[in-house]
Amino acid sequence: MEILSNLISGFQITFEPINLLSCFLGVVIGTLIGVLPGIGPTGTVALLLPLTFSVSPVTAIIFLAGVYYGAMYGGSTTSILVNIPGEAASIVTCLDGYEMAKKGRAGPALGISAFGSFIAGTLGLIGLMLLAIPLASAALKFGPPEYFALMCLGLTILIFMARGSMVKSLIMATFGLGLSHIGIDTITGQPRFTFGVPELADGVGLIPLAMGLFGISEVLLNVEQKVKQQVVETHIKGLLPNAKDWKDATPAILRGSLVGFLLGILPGAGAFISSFVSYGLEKKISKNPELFGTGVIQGVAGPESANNAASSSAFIPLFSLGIPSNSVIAILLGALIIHGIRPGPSVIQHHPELFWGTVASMYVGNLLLLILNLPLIGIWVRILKIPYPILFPLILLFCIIGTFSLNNSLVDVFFLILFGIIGYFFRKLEYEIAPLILAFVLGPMLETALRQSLILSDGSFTIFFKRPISVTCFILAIALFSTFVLSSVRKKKGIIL
Amino acid sequence: MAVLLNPLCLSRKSCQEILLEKSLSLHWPPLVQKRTGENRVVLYDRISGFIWLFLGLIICVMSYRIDLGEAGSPGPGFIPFLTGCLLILLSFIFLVKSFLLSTDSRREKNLWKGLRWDKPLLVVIALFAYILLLPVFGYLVVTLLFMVFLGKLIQPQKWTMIIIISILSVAASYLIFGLWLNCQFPKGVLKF
Repeated sequence: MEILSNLISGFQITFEPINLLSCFLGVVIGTLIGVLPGIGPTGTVALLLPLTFSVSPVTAIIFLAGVYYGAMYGGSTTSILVNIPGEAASIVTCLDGYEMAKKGRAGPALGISAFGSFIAGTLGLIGLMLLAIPLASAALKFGPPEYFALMCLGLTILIFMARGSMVKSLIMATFGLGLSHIGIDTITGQPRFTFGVPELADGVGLIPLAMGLFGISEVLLNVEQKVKQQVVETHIKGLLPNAKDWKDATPAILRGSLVGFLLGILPGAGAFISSFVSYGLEKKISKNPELFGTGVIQGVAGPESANNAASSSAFIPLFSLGIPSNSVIAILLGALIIHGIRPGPSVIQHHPELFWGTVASMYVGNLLLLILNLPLIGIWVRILKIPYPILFPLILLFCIIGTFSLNNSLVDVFFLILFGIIGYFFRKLEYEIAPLILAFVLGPMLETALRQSLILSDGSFTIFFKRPISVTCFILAIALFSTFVLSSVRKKKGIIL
Repeated sequence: MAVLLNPLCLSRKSCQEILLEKSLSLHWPPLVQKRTGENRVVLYDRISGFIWLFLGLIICVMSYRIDLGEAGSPGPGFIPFLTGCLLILLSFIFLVKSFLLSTDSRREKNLWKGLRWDKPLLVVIALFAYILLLPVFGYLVVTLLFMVFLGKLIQPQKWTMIIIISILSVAASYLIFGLWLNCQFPKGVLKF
């Protein structure tokens, strides 16, 4: 009953005009960037963060969260219609979604992906409500050693989930840690790696870093392409799936929701991996696996549900532990800190309006997305026709102003450009950026937890092996790491370098 | 996780294979990158490996100078020192792996082949010029010039189109950030 009354007060917060407006704007912008390939949710959330400085934290999080899950909805549209995934989590939707569109069934494909997303998003939210609170109260008992162990496990899972080379991902995470050390040491007040630059005393900003690595570098990569933009010509009719479609798709939606929900909690797994796992699962248990890739509705319903459920459950570690599970959530965590909220297990207790307001807004947002996506699909498709030569100067301008407005400082803009160039080379050389951002955000927490643990234990590392939770986390991390090393040794010349 | 992923034949490798088979990529316009044995970016990996090694060494030396502290009370340089050591270790493993993979440099993939590498360079120059000129000539003028230059850069558009979009974006950004959010844009010698 307590949950219900809390949820009702959450809805009261959501239905305040400013929050309702920010939820609406969030999901519309989210759908837009989901539709537009070349700019992903992480870059956009970083880009829009400065806009939220003048509003309350709950309004800010409602808006930014809307952008995040809105992007999951929007991404499927281009996957299905033109075989171009709007963002990473919709790649797998291309496989069967585009085939369905070629057979003239674009309508049901779009329809089932919107309904699946809605159902999965809502189920994910129920899970979020039920799981976040007990987890937070358990986490209140955590001391620095438990936190340190948990974050180590989180980083290990993140690296395990990385898409490319494991060593490269590890290097990126270490580099992110290194960047997080820049600035004045929080415990002793001593400057570190500031090179006498006063602006570096507060450390490298998350916004210039994220916007540079995700926004500017993406633009630099795109402007060197010679490929001309595809002309999008599609006619869609009959968006509602028929009875047989529903019969085929419903179990896939439910399975996808479960897979997405579970994987979304894990660091680094998130929407992308869960969409692949859901597709694999559907193919494996199907009676006709050979039909996958030719336009079966399960191949659209499963992954689309999974990525939306994952985007709901990704909020669980954020609210209950204060630990981000992917780079978008990492920026949301940064947003909480900027708004003066200390992330951690006490957030739900001390700022119930933030947690319940966000949860309730996500119910409303999911419904808004369903309404927006189905009838307005034609408009979203038309947006794809905006030529990139017009779009990219706007993205650059927005990155610059967004960064400048943080501190009215051109030094921040300089760092933005610098990280843009670095990010360009990282992407060229196939270094993944997500581990860097996550390690950068986790870095200060990790360091404080380790140093506090060592002070507690008088310098002995055995403290981590005396507490059951930290021991369990370390054993899991080591087990995970060794299975990975063993499998890559076995492959020797495998794709994993 | 290994148990969860592998029965579904969904290791990271298969994710990549699916991407390659379907020629899908995350970029717009789509970049199609074939990743075969002879096309590995080994040479670039070696160069970046040495850069990481160097960076790790610098971090170690600098954090050693800050103050490592003692075991019971780790100083501000302690964790950065560990980070530096880890980076050295990882770059070493990375370099060893890249040297173990034999490669013929003539078949090495050129990452800039077939691409207009001058365009990103021009964008970067424009960005640096922008932050240098901004305090001198003020937000409105410099941003307008910046937008017009970029509009003409990759695929020349019609002048009227570029000018309309540039003026609109400068005006909108000035209204939202300068007036509404009270962002202090540099005014420069022209005083606006």
